[in-house]
Amino acid sequence: MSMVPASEDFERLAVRWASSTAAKEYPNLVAMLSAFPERYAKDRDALPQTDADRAFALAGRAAQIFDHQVIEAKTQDDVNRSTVEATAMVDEALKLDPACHDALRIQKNLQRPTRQEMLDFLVEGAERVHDECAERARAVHAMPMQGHMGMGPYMKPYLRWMLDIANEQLSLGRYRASLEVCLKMLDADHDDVAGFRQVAALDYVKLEDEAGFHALRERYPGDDNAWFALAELFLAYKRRDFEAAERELHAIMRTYPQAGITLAYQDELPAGLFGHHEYAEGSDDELFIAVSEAAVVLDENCGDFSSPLSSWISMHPDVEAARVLEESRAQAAQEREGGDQACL
Amino acid sequence: MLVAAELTERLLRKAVKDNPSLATDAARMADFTRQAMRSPETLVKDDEDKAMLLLEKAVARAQRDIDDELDAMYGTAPDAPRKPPSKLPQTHALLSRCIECDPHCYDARTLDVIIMADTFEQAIDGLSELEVEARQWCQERSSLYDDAVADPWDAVFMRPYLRMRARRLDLLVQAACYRQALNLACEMLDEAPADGQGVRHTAALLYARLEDEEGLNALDVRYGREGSCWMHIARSVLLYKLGRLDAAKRALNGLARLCPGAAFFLASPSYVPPYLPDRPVFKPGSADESLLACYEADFLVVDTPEFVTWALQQPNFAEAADKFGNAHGGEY
Repeated sequence: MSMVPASEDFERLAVRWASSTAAKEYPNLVAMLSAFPERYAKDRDALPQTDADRAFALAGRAAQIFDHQVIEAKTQDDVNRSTVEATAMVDEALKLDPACHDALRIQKNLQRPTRQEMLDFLVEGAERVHDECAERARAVHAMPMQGHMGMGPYMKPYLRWMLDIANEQLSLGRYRASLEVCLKMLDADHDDVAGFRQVAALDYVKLEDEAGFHALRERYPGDDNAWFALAELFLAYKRRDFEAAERELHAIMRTYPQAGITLAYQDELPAGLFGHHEYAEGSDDELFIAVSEAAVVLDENCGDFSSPLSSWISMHPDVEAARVLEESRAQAAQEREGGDQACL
Repeated sequence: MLVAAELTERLLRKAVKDNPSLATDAARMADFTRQAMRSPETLVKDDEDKAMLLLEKAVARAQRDIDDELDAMYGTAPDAPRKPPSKLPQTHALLSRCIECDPHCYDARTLDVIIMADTFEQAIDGLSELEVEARQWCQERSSLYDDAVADPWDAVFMRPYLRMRARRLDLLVQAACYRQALNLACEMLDEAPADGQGVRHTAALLYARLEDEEGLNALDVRYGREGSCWMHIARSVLLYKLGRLDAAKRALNGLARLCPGAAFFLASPSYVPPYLPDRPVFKPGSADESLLACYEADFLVVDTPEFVTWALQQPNFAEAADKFGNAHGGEY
């Protein structure tokens, strides 16, 4: 589960459009909604929107820049340029809408608070954010029904706010508190568009609570996301059932084509500013992001060295073999590309 | 473990077994003990005890080797996978001599498994396999020489087995297999409730790490709320983790007041050599206890990254850390 600013912008404007007078030209709801995508594509800015919608769009774009461009930048100059650009967007968003929750969250992050300060800030604001989001949702007749908070785009900033709380608590080593938030939010949003289940999975691993984790999995039958797969692997290792751990490792390697490289290097990304980093389900990105977020488990009790669990994975002969194969494949592809270019 | 002290006790038990009248003759007993302490080699008769003499040398060698290895390691790759101190050739040679002399010298075998393992998994499995055999053997020897005792730890011939389990417990903690570690600790406390090895201290830290307040309370009650430094740390961190900051502050005040040096050692982690073959002896309520407890609590404290920062914001704790630091020429 990850959230994407662009699709959320689309949803917000669709909801607002449906509640506006513009929609009255259409004979019925279906006709109206089928006309919307074209309008959005043709001239998004001409659609009815408030300053809050404009601010949201800016904050979403800023989050994208931080989560993608800044991380992937090749040079420090690129990092600086992107940072300046995105920071200006956040400031602009807050000028348009001082209550723009995503912008407030990002701005606080940019001030480099300690984790505790960030958590205090988020916890302090949580109730207000909920009420403001609900008020805005009601204004466009888009208050989602009970238990499906994620169905309403205007409630999603609150979901992200709470997701950050759960994540901060996880990083601070407050696993029960983090879990409590996750479980409360999973009840509030059965569809779990924000991905609380992934944070909860890591909480259960940290608490080494197998029963709790399996109860969580049962709520989402058929969901084999990378966080769940890794949690199974970690829990098997922690109960020293290496056969099961190996089974999970192999299942992960079958699902994700670049698993060898990802599991061997276990790189860590900065936390996403718009919920979990964006990924397509079943893609290499999914595993990469899950491994990155699982650093709280992989780096457990290791001081300056890599932890026994982390080494068990990265130095597993099958992971090592897969990594070598993937790297030589990537190199061959690069050479082929280079060769083609030389021909041209 | 002071190998020499334990050898003395073993020699005494054997002598009493051979000559029961010794037990009732205080003067002869004192003479024997003195001789056993001063020159045990004159009293050692069998291979079992000879192996203990060799073990003493091996343990001393292990400590020196590990210091050297650490010096070498810290100078090199920071990404080196963490593993038990391994393949110390001279220690291994000395341990091999002990084991050759007496294949049932389980202290030597415990150390050898640990230093020869490439990974934590190997070390833990190795000890786990050896335990069954060690238990059987130690029980046999103990029934031969030890008096009937209230707790297995009081029987000197049982101790190599109990120590072997305690080392496996440490390894499980280091491998971050906390639930398994806690299960083992509970088993050990049921097996030897008087807990001569202080397994309860490790258990307290584990309850805190797994945020099991009920478990921690039950343990504290079971051991009469003795107020060890481990328990103070466990309680402070657990309450902090659970977000009950006022209660955490009270626990922290207790820690700062009752455990000399603890605030300083938490703020400035200090190095303690690995426990080979067991936790050093300490005086309850001393700075030595605090040093050991803080060192052992590292896994819990680093997993709660802002705990120390928060603790240093509490005036009593910060003051205690400063005072101890100033008095002992340290900074954090």
